[in-house]
Amino acid sequence: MAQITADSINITVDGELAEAQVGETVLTVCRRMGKDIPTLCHHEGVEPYAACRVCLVEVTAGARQELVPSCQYPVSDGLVIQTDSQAVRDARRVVLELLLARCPKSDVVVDLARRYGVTETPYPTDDPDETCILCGLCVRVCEDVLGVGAIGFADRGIDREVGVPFDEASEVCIGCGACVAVCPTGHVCSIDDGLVRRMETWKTELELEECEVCGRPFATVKQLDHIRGLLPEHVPLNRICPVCRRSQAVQRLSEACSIVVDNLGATAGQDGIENLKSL
Amino acid sequence: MGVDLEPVGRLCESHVSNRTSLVMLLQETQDKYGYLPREVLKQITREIDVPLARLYGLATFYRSFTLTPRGKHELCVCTGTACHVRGAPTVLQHLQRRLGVSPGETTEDGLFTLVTVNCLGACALGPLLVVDGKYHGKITVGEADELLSSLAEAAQQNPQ
Ligand code: SF4
Ligand code: FES
Ligand code: FES
Repeated sequence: MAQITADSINITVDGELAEAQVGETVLTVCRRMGKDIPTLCHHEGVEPYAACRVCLVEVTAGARQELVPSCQYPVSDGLVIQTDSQAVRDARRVVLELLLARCPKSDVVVDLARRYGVTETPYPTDDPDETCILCGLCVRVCEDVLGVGAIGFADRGIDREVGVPFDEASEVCIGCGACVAVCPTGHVCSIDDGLVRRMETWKTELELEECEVCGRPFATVKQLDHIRGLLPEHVPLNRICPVCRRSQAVQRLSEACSIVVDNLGATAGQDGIENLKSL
Repeated sequence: MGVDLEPVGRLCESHVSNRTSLVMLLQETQDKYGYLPREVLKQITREIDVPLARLYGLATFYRSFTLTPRGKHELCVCTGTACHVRGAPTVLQHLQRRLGVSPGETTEDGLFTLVTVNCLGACALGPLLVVDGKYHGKITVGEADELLSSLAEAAQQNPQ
């Protein structure tokens, strides 16, 4: 439950009164209440963009009633929200028909569409193998979160696509894989092959670095250099894989524990000796 | 195919000091080079710390930008509604056939680039053909042919 502060406001969600904070989005509040609102282009770590429109809800503010993308719409005092009205379901169905026409083979789109009873679409399909819904999550995470900006939108209208400039290997991509992680449809993919990470979708190959401890390739050289650049100079960056880092941490912890245990023992021993002496 | 990158620095400097938009910078760059050469875009990203992906996005979004060199002369056929009903498709088809290019393309000899536009706001003059910025109203296939021939002739007499 949200903490009640000076910035608290009251809204109504599906007839239920709820507390929200100024600055929160409708989606955040509704999800906190356990409402089931589908999203595709939304990611908590990235600024909202409201591209996919599957998160539409109905809001009533004063006399105005409209369908809005909940991922981007800010709450305001007295807002009345419907997350599952007939209008909402109808609107989501249209959106899903459009998405299904674009990506007829995307499991994510197909499954979500089916949940809304949409199994076919009246709209024409351009490329039956298309799996990108142009939600821009990959572009936003790359530029806004990582500050790299290796990929972007190109062209417009029906030719709009996401990719690397000039459709050639990127000079700036660090191969971190954030785009792979955020892509809702699995369109972005990468493959690690020996000492090479291939960012297949972006036509870019990067050299992998081996863990200083176990020798397993675990991150790209550019990725580690990028992190190095972000860290303050006095903070060392160990080029160690997560597995080894964890076991090193465990090792350090158990060493620390045994010192504590030893010290305790010693203290107990000391006390024991003192006790003996006092007898 | 070396492109002179010299002017890029100056263009970027004025962009930064005058705080103009990226679109304006690209417009000025295209005015300078006639198109947006790849190396020039890459140089811009080095100068002003803007991702190449963003420049490429803008350059491919707006129709007035082009990433390939333009022909010596630009033939622009208006295919807006008014020009369309007044016969623009016939003129366009004829030019396409005669030049052997589709809209957006440049002839192999680098002489002509054919483009289309949707309404130039001079509908009463339709069908409209704009040659290197000069408007030719109520154009016929015959007149278009003559214009083309005289340009081609001039180019032959004065090759660069
Ligand atoms: S590749 Fe994935 S993340 Fe990027 S725009 Fe397409 S669907 Fe969205
Ligand atoms: S999740 Fe809200 S518009 Fe995509
Ligand atoms: S339609 Fe051609 S100028 Fe308007």
